[in-house]
Amino acid sequence: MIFKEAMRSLRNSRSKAIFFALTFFITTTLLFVYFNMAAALTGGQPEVYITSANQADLFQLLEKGNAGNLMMVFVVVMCFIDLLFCNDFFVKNKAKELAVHMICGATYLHMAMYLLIQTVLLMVISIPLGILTGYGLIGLMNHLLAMQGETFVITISTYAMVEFIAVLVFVVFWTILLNCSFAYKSGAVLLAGGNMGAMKDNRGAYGMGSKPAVQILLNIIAVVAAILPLYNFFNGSGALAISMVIGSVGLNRVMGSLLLPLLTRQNRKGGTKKTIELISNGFLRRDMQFCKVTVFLLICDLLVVMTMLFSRQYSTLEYLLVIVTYVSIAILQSLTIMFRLETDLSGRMHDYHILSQVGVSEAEKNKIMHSEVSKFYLLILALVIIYAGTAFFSLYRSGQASTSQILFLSAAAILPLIVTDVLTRIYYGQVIKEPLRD
Amino acid sequence: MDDIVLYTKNLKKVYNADSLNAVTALHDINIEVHKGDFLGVMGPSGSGKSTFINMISTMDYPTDGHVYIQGKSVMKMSANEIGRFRYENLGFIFQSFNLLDTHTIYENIALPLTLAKVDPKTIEDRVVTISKQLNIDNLLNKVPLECSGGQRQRTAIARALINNPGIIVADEPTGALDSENSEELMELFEKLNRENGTTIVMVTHDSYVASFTSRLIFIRDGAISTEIKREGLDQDEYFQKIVAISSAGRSRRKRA
Repeated sequence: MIFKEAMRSLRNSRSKAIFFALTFFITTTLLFVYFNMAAALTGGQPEVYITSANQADLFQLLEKGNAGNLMMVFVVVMCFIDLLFCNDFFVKNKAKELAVHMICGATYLHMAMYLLIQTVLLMVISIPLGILTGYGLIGLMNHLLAMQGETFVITISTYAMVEFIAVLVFVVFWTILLNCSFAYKSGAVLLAGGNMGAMKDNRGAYGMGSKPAVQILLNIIAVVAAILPLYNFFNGSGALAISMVIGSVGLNRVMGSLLLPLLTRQNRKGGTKKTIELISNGFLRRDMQFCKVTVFLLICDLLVVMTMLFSRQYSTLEYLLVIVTYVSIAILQSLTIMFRLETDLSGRMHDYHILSQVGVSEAEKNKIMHSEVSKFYLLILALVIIYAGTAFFSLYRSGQASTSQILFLSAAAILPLIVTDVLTRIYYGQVIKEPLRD
Repeated sequence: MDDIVLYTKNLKKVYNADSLNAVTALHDINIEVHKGDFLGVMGPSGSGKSTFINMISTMDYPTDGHVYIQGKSVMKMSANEIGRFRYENLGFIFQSFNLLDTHTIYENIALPLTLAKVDPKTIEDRVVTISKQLNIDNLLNKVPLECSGGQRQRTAIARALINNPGIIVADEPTGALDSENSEELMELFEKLNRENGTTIVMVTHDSYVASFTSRLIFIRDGAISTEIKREGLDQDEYFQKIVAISSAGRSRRKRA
């Protein structure tokens, strides 16, 4: 009975289930590749086959400190954050189902099982596929290494597999725990007649109210911090890492305290001329408020890994690992932003229903949707380009990065955002066509 | 005849018409609403009130019959024409306010004017003017979740009135309000109707709220069962009359 109910629930939220499985698939692939590469770097294990004189270089690198472990922690944390938001997206629409179960007298165990079956089914499909893909990717990397004239190969090591399985089990356990706690909490809120909207962070008037002197001072500091990385344009890459991190922290506040109220002012002064602008600006303001932490994390993480990449000389394998970290971060953080955004968008059908009532046509609704998504991703792309571009320019000027490296890293940062833009439009397009159920 | 703003002829709505579970929600609804009317619609749950309001507000199409608003047949309009027709002719007020929680009070009120392509300066002037009339001018930069139920409903009224529509359609507008805010809202409706000549069609299940109307129809089992007018009655007498009709309807159902 409970299995049938869980299957029905999965069928009803098919698109969300696909997103969830896809994220697990990508996470598994990245973790699999990652642990095997990192094990190859640890050197303490015999799984790195060094078949040439490169052995000496590797030991020299290990003496300098192991970048692999640090980055491994970084990637694992990113995987967890990504899964947290993916999970949030997956279970949000299940709150109502769980509330109904609770009314009918379901126990916590019953509800946990209900969610467990759904999660496990999706994992059973996505994890083996992720492992197979990871296996293939390692083969591809070895091929690329051989093409570069490198003689060592990355093997699938027992040590890495033990670490990989341990982390995977922890991820699975953590996800299930999150599922249960979130769904139980949201189900209880609905049962109590509460509004799920109230569970979201609501900071109200988008900073349009009166500002005390402290707020103004903080805003000035934030603006100075946000433009600090531009200093690298003129002064080389000496303080790149620190200025980039300070810059992205400042940017976080600038987005919340200055950009969002700017959209409100725009709507009030001139933006009200066009319905599409008025509505999409309002939605964008909400999106940015909801997602600004994830946008901040994307920029900050990319900059940190980028500066690590150029901070010292690496062996080919270590360099490859940093590159994989960079690409992984770009993919995972783009997915995180997408899931965070889509969690909010999943409740938008009510707003679009209101727009219909007021007289907004179907064609205009589509334009509003595309305008909102375009502005959202263009804003993120612009921020990535400004910050990463500054860093690239500085590294290029100081001769630390070549044109091909810059092109590759730019593409790795931008492409996942473009893909998630397209996926968001597909999902959002379905949301706005959904009929209201209550 | 010239002052008729809403007219329905043999209105019929059947849900799941092509299946074995066909349900006739409305049948033989013939009604005329004149300019300046304050029409109430009452009836028990499932009687067809909401279906009726959806038909006359262009939210749904009838299975048979006709709806004419401002002399135009709703049935002959395309989806895009309907959209334009709505913001030009109708103002909506709902039990759950139906405001955009992502937008400020100012933006919610301004929305119908942007659809009508009014210039920004006029929008600003009209939003400020109406918000002062409804005593929400200090909330314009807030979002609905920061406002009380009464303030949100007044925002919904401002949005409904901003375009000077021919008809205000209100579906259980006091449903989510406490008695004080309900009374305040109904006094506002009464004032709008009396002083501005605003035509209002309001669905309610509350006899007291219905006693503010000038004319009332009772819908039972998908058809109009009774129609009464306030005419010379004071509000108390009108209220007693409404209660008597409602109770009679309940007694008949019990006996049946």
